[in-house]
Amino acid sequence: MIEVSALRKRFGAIDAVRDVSFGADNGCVTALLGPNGAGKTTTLRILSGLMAADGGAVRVDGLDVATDPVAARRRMGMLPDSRGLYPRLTAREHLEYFGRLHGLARHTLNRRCDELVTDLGLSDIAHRRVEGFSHGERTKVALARALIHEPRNIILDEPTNGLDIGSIRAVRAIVHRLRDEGRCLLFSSHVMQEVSALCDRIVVIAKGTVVIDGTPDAVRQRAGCDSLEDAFVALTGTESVGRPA
Amino acid sequence: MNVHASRVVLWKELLDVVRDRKAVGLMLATAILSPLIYVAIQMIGAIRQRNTSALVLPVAGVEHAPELVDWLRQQTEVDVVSAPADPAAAVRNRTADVILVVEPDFGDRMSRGVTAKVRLFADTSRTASAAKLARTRALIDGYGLQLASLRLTARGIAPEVAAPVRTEDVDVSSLDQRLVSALLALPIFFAAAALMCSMPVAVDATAGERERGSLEPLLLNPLTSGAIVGGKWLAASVVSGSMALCCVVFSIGAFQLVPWHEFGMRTPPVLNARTVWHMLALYVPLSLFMSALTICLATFSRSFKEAQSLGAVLMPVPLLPFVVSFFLPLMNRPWLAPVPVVGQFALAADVLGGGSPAPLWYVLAATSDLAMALVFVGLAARLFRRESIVFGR
Repeated sequence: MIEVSALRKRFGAIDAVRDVSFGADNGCVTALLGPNGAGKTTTLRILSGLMAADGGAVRVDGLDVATDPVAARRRMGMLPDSRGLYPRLTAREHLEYFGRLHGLARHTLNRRCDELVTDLGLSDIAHRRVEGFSHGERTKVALARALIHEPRNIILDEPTNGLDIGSIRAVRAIVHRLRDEGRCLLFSSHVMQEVSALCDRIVVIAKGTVVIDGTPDAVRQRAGCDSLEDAFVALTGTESVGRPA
Repeated sequence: MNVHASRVVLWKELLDVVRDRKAVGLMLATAILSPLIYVAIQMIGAIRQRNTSALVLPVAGVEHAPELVDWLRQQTEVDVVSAPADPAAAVRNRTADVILVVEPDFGDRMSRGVTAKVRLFADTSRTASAAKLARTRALIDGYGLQLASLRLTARGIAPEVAAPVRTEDVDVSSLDQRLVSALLALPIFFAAAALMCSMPVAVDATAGERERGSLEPLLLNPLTSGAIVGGKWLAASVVSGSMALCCVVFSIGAFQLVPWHEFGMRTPPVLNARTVWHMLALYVPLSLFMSALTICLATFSRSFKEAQSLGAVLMPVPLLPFVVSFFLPLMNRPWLAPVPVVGQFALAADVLGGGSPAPLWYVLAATSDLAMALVFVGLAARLFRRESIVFGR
């Protein structure tokens, strides 16, 4: 369970996050939406404990990320915006590296590697060095790496970005399964179709504050729109340029 | 947990290095080739020095000064040959080192008792011809002095009147000693190998990690930045220490294999297994310090490219003993041991000079390396927690 309360972060004269509060419950998929520059990435970075907030707090399973980042991170699995891999290591070695850093025992590590390789369709490339992998293959390795320790709280920053349809379906299946296992999932995306297909709850951020927090139906109702996309545009005030009148 | 995590990071970084064959090859080349090239240069220098004893001197205008030329021919190991038509050009394009040109009025002036002139063509920018030039000049001056003595004696004046002070050069250098002083440069190579070979690992594990975008995922693991940086530092130290070891073994081995006897020199007695152990005891621990220094500095760099340029900035570090020795001779100063690089050099110089510093100094040097390394690792670990480093802001 993730609780974010009254988060603030300033970069020079810019208020990246002004007042963000929301919660992501266990057994629930929460989407963090917002136009570019709304403060999503900053919020996720503060959530990971790698960036310090100017005010407010983030609690993961009751642990304060700012005061106890190591314990909080043990309960988190995060796929961040940067998904860099080590070109000379194989896909499986990436999973083993991160698994060992989490202190997994050998048999648990082997089991998890086998499961993730199968679930994400990495069997053919598991023993190949990641140098030369496609964008989609790299994303899948990064995702598997984030899930290696079976975290209770999973944060995914645009997980399906650049994936082909088969891989998107695999990711969706994993997300649903993790939710059914009672884990807490928080993810950011720009693809509304994805959000409506996956999410139980939506938190929309614009200009550093939470604009709405509720179920997809509640969001549509509040905006008075039939589609989630129209609701998103109406609520965040982001209208595409050059749209026919 | 921290020790375990550092071990995992160490394993991964070493695997990464070993798989980068090109980098390993380059590091080995750095560690082995530089001392080998140095040995070769020293040998060429020694051979050249030997060759100067047999002087081949092209002389133009032999007919103007037959007595001088005859006198030159009578000197030991002087071979007078005919000079090329254009002496200046011949010296410039290096067909000859020194050419003696006798002026046409030499004989005339000589018979009149007036100072006669000869010209010596040489290129003073070439160090190789300096010894030959000095020897030729000494020969001509000797001939002049001999004539002057004869003239004074003919006039009933003691030759000493014209030479109130006389200098006598006593050259105590021998080829063997020259070799020993050449050996003193070896510790510089050992320090340079430790430094340069820590660079690829340190840069890849810090600035490289940032540039690839793998730093953020790595830091998301439940570890302290100290555990992560510690593992990276140990990896850089293992590589740097191994390369320093290669450098020590290969360069001392290479010097030992040179057939010094064929060049009329004794094999320096310090080239033995004992010296290898002493050097390893000094320079393998130094790699702990060098790796920590490069890790810390490379963490500041925004990109791989920027971090690589650190090489140029750090290059003076192994040369530090040379700079210090301008102000303070480093022989017989074991108390410098706690100063990284300089201390190692001071102890190494004693060993190469045939001395045997007390083991305590080695322990002190290694302890100081480790302590300073930990300071740099701690600093790097702090940097790893900075938002500006992690997110490149």
